[in-house]
Amino acid sequence: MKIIIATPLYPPEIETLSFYIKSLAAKLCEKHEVTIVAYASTAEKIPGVKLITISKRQPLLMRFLRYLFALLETSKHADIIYVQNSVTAGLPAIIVKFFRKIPVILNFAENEAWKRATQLQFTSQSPENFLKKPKSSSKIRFIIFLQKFVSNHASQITVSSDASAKLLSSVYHVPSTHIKINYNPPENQQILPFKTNPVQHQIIAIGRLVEWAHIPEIIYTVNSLKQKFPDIKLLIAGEGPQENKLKQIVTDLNLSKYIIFLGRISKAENWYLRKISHTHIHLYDSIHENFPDTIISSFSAGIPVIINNSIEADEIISDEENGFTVNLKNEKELSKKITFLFNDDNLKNKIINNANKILNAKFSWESHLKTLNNIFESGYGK
Amino acid sequence: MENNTKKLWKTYYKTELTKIIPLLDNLGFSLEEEQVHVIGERYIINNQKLILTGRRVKNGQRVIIKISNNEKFIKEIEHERKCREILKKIDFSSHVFFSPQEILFTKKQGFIIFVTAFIEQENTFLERPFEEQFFLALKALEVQEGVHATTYKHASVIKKIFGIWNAEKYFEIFNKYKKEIESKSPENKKTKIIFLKAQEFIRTNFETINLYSGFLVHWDFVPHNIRIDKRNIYLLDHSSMRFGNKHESWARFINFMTLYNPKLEKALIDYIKDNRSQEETLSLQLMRVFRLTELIKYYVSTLENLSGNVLTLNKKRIEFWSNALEAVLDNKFVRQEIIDDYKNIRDSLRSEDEKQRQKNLH
Repeated sequence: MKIIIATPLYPPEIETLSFYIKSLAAKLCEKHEVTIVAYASTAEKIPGVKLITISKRQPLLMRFLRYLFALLETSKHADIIYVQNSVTAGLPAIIVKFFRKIPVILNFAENEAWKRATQLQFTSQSPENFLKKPKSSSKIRFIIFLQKFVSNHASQITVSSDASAKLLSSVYHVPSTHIKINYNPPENQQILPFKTNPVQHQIIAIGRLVEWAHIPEIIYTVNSLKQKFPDIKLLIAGEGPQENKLKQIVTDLNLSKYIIFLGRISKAENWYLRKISHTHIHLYDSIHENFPDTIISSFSAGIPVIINNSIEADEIISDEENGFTVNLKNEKELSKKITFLFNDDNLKNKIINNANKILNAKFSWESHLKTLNNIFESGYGK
Repeated sequence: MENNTKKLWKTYYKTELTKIIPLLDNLGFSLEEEQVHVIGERYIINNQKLILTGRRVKNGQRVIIKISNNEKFIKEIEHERKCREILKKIDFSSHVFFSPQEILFTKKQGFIIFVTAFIEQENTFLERPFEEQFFLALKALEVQEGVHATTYKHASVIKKIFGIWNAEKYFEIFNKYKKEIESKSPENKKTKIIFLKAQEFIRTNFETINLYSGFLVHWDFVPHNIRIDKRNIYLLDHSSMRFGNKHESWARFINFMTLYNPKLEKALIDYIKDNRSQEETLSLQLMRVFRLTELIKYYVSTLENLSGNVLTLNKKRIEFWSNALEAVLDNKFVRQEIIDDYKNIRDSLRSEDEKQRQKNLH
């Protein structure tokens, strides 16, 4: 097949999506003829893959039109366009679909409107609430409009979780038959230049420090467990609007010895902490942009995950099988599960092994490519 | 000769202090007794700008005072402040830069005065455990990689303030350095061969340099230009920022570690080799060559004004960093005995003042 991958991000950009596209193209080109059309001023090459770049260093309208024409030209003999995100690459892809009558598969990899609104500090809403009732600028609302338009005109949409599929369906009214779940493959494991030595009773919580992440409850739980496990340690990595409030709680409870705020951490440290710690408490109960990627990373690193009870959690975690689901608001329940994990190595090992099995079966490059190839070969929407 | 340059610096410092102290007093600041940024080998740089430590009288807060009445350095301080301001405004930066809080920026009696908070730190960078050094370095470098001047809007915002360097610019500047080094130390045949090799290496790899250009870089990214407070990294010198090849800040930092922590140098290089693309490894090597050439050029340019121990020391420095350049070009590390020999000689030649200045610096 002749496949075009249309993307707004590509290495040397350091976003997760950039690395995904590079790895994907390198794998797809073993069986298919692959062309990448990317918004990029410079680009890393991939042997066997044609790369067309449209410089971002030109006015918005100019680069949009150039991208559109490049996509139109490249798609002359193409079988399918696999487009990443629904705005800057998505809109041109939908226009090209109209002229070329070829299927456009939209990978709804990121919620661009929410991401941008969060970066610009226009909102501290959760992604779900933001999409349902966005408190933002007219520019962001226009991005939401485009997301909806492109989503409804794509031949098919792929998302990385059932929860995202339901959200897209309810907020943008995309028919559920048009949405296919294709779980993301794990990011490459980080190779560190030194050994990782496990630290007993060390818990990590990584993510944005936002109101809906139940971090105060995790702090109170550590407070209650410190008698039983005097060496307990909670490392909180990330930044967010709740940071000062959380630090104050830790100070008030005199827990500075037990709870450490790491702030932003590097990719390597993110991996390192998973490798050395005892337990990872997933900080979100909502459909965050990285869900379920952060859990997959923990599966990959071999660290048990505790996650808040939710429909989304059920999609990936079976309680006491490959992780723990708890009501994070219930400190006693959280405390009980942490104690299980700290005391029972057999249980811990069972959870790690089962998580690894799921990782290989559901969240691997093999399964990701298989689903994608099935979509491509079905000629959906042609 | 040494005495002359040093004398001139001392005279400059003393004269300026007589004007500065009452000025600062009026503004509510006092100077600390010990001023580490003006002693030791500081005179070699001979900038008409003073970096002083002081306190805010009303609350005793420790501060850093940058002050000058020289036109060139007034512009430099203004530029640094502009860089700080624009960094705060850049909406495409997905990462927050920590900068010491600005307390005062003013012009009085021909002086420009820029006062910022002094950032206390529990330990210097090199005193921290190895893993912590590694992860702090990566964090700081990744923050810079997160700021990419990708779009038209971005480029137009930053071009005027920071400047944008591409392969052609790096090569042009490299050639200037090479020319200066050769004109001021023409007798060194070995160095000549190394620089020819370096020149060819950069000339034939423009594509790789440009591939990673357009990123925010701190071209003097070394431990003494950052301070760490509760794992937050504060950039102290904002005038050394530009948009260029993203490995330029990596290169400066790793080159520094060649001397101060070779284990960390190796760990960072291995990390790039094992986790990034081959092009990134090559790009880093190219930037290391560029930065080392600049360092050698700097020491060569000081020779004519020096004599005595400092002259001998700077000649040794040129020799050491030339060895480092040769090693980088050959994809090797400087041998430990070369590092140890150099350190021994350096320590025997350094003045007591300079040893004092170096304390708690890195």
